[in-house]
Amino acid sequence: MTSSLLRPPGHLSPATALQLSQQAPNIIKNSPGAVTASAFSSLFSAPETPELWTIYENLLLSCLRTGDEESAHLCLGRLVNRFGDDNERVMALIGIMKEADATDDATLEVVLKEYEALLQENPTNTPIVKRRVALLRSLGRIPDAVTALTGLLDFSPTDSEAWSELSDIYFSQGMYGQAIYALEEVLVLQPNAWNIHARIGELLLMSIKSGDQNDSAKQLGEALKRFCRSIELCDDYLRGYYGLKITTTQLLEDPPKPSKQAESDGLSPPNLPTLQKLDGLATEKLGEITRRFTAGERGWQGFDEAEIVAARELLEKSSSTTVR
Amino acid sequence: MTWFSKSTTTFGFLLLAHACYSAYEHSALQSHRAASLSSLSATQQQAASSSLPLDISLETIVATVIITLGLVLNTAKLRPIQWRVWAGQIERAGEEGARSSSGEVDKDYVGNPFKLLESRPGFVDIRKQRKEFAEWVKQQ
Amino acid sequence: MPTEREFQVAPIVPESVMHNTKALSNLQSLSASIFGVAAGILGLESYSGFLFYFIFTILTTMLFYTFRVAPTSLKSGLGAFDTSRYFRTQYEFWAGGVFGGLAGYILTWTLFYGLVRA
Repeated sequence: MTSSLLRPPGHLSPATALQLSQQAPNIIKNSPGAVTASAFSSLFSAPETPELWTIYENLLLSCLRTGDEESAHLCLGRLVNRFGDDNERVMALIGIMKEADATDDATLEVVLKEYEALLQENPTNTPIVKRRVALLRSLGRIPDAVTALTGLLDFSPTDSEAWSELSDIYFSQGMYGQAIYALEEVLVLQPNAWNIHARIGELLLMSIKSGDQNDSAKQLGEALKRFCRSIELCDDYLRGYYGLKITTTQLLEDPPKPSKQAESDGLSPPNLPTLQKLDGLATEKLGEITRRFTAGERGWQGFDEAEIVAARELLEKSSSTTVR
Repeated sequence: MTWFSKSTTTFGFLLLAHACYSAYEHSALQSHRAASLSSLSATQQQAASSSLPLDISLETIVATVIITLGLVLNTAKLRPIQWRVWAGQIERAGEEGARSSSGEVDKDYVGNPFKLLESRPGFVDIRKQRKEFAEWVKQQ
Repeated sequence: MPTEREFQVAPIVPESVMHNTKALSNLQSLSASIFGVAAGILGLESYSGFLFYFIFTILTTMLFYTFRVAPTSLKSGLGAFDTSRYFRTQYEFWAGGVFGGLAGYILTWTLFYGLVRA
């Protein structure tokens, strides 16, 4: 159980978060509150591990999420004791705490002013810049958030997390082109991130669906390539196969006319036999994954329940259309 | 599983220690006898001091094999080195794949390291999360 | 030998390589010193001592293959004695530990030889 405390809790389900925060009083009681600097007394106390502070940080976030302010304050207090309140990461955590405590927009504005004051002193304080962007976005001031984020990327263009956030903001505004561009920047930094490959494929599919039909054949072809790469980087990647299945279905139903220009780019979709083969492979793999997951086979239980359900629905839909 | 390998190793070490002590006693006895029977011929002395009794030799070899077995069983689980196999294992098995033989998840297991690019802990919107959680509680 | 392009298409996970190599070399250096103890007790001298070491090192590697590598690599369709799922080269797996443990072996060999035959 504690292993999931070593990873940031953002993606956990509410049930797991609740479970974690219910454990919080126990963990706080059993872990050392402060680590002494004196060499003599450190012989007798528990050793200080880097994991301890990660656990406190993640516990703090889980507790805030579930509304357990008391434990959250205890965690923060220990982190401040250890690292001091001028540590950049601790400053961001203090900010999160204030944001969570705020009840109305006026208080949030005050927090925002504090962030700006901190940035006046040190404009390259990355955690605080990120907090400011998140707060601006949360307040609905999207243009300001984008400006702040591009400012951050100007001085640290290798921050893949920031690029990914930028892509998500663009995506929420329906600007698919920019969102895909930002994710491609992430891929430059992390060329083997299989989930980002799949994410670009999904964005391409959504941009086709949203209606700008200028060159959907080219985009479908590229989406196909993205999904194929994500599968190449990761065996049995459910999300990749799901996207591949959707793309091939679309391409088979409505084969786009090959255009001269797309062909010279090397971005045109592959020919019919290849498409059918890919479609068959995706169907087969999705079937295998859903079957093994439902059968409760060992070593196949890491998938997300909701994704499995979606895959099964997709398979049922496609099999019913082929029967007709 | 881990208790099995540990007990195998311990048993092997006990055997080895016993063999070591026996061999020491044997050689001490030999030299003592050689000193007291110095009137005997030189050839007999040499033959007696150099050869170890068969049971001690056997015990030593068996102990070594047992210790080796225990040590091999005690090694950590290997991890696949090809990217797609490694990533596939993370996606397919989750924490299950990183469980050592004793049933604990490896300390340095991080899951999908690129998950952070999608959850983005630095940009967490804590108020939205709180709201979602409150709604989830209401539904329960 | 795979080319640069192949490494781009099918990358290798450096953390896993390090983890596996560490597991194997830890095992080999530890077992080498145990073999030294055994050789000292047996009172082996010169060539027979080295022969003993080589035989037991090969035995260790075989055991390691049987218990740690074979179950998963055979299941994933690799041939017998193919370690490419966990190690980059065959040489690294089969011969890498022989020389790594030799120093530790000689150390404990001479120590226990001296202790027992004092």
